[in-house]
Amino acid sequence: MTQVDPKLIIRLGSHAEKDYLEKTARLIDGVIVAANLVEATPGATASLLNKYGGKKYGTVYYIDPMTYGYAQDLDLLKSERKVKKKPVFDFKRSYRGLSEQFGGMLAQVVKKDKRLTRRDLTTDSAVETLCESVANYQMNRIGGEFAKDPEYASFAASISRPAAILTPYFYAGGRNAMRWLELVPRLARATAALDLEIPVHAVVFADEQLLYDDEAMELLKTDLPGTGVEGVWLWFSSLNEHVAEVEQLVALRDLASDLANTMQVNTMHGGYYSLALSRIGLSGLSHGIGYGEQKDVAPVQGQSTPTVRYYLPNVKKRLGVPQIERTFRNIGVTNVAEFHKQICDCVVCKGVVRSSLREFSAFGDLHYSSPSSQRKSQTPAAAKRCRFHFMLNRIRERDKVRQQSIEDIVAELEEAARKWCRQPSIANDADHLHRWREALED
Amino acid sequence: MSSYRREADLLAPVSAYVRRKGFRWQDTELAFYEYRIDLYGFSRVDAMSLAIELKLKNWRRALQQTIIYQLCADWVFAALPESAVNDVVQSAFAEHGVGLIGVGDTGRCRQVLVPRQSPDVREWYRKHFVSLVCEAG
Repeated sequence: MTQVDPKLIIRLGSHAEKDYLEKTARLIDGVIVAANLVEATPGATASLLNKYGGKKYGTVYYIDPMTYGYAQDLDLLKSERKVKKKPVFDFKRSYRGLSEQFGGMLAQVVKKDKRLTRRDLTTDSAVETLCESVANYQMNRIGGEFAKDPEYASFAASISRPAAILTPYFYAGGRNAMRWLELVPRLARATAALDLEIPVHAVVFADEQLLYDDEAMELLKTDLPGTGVEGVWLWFSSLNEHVAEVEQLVALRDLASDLANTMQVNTMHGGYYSLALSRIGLSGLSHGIGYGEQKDVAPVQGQSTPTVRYYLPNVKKRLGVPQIERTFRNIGVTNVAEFHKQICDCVVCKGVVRSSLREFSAFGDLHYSSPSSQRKSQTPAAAKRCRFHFMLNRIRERDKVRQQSIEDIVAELEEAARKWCRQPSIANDADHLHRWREALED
Repeated sequence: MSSYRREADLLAPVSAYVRRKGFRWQDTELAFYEYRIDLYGFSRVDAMSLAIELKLKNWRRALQQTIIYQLCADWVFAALPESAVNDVVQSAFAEHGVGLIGVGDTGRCRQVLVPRQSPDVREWYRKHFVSLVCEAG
């Protein structure tokens, strides 16, 4: 059993999150950005990646090529905007720009408004061309952005490159899931064969149901090693570690542990369970700032800003403020000192809950965000508190896990379950503690 | 099988029932973090407050919500169609000190289970809701 010091890679969802990165950059291991974000804001993203992907902070960066978008319902890459005062439903500027940057078959997808199919990737030459364009994009896009500016052109060559090149990837789900999954080793082999001087990481993006499929798991365990890639990122669509069944958690554990014998294994949208898997070989995980520990193939559209809930460190889950507050009397949290001892003593919590337990409600403050709002929503300040508190706790968890054995983690989960599953306001949200323990000690 | 189709159908009979019990100051759909309290009432005579969750079927969800409302009201109830109240439901609510109101098909309400006064009530939340219902009333 290989124990690895897990790496925490933060996925930047938008530039509005820059502030969180600014304050925690020295504590995390790296940043990952989606290529469509690069294309939406090339200058700002290049400058950000140069800053946080360099020596100054000791962090690395990755660019997620997001190629799967071009093989799904293309309407998901479109939005309505006004052209000459008339509404037009067309490709978002970022995805159009990205397809042009990739060129070849991905550019044709947008040009012809016809999604990529498996048949487009039947021949080896088609796969090789795709892999080359996607790899070149990641290798050169950030430096190229600097090269465009006469003032910075001379620095372009010294701009740091991604820590690894991610292969193109597509969603393996539905009736043809296995066919799409078979593409993963082919894309991995073709990208590795490019001899890039930078490690190549494959990406497995599949329906969470495939975790139940022995044939699918066997294919990945057998065919990925030997492709020449140095790592793999696992993303099982909509797999939520908190609700996943033990069987799925065990399958993920076995897959990670098996692949870890030959390569670095990361989860693309993981949480604490992924961190725990580092004790059996998982190298790292990425997630957003206060969200994104699971992600579905279909993007969330047209939803109001979700509430950022308070991360209860013992339970390893975000919960509502009153759910937690309701436990205080039962568990003996009667004063601020006890709050810091039993709930959280990060700098954010010490700053917010200073003189009275009443101050805990600041993590859930509500307001009417506009004069026309019908419902109250979380204040930006409350959301910010929750996000910073989460980030500090995730960093703390990573550091702690690095010192723990799998047995230590299992014991910790067991103790947490004993305490929190008895709390009526939380019991229904703490079941995962049992399942994680069971999956880890299985 | 109850004759009620929507939770909102329970509001009028339950509101009238607790009004008769002295909780004349009332307001509905009050936001408590991400929850919405269906009915909050205050009795000036007893200086006591109550919060009620109306549910047609999902009594487990009602129990979860009412346990949270114990932070902001002295007494907390779930109101269910009488046909949905059985021994299992009663014992689950009794365990957590949450009261139960059974609503008959004719709209007649009956206190099936007496709540315990909440030991978890926070004065700052309670005060906030009492002032809201008194303003609304």
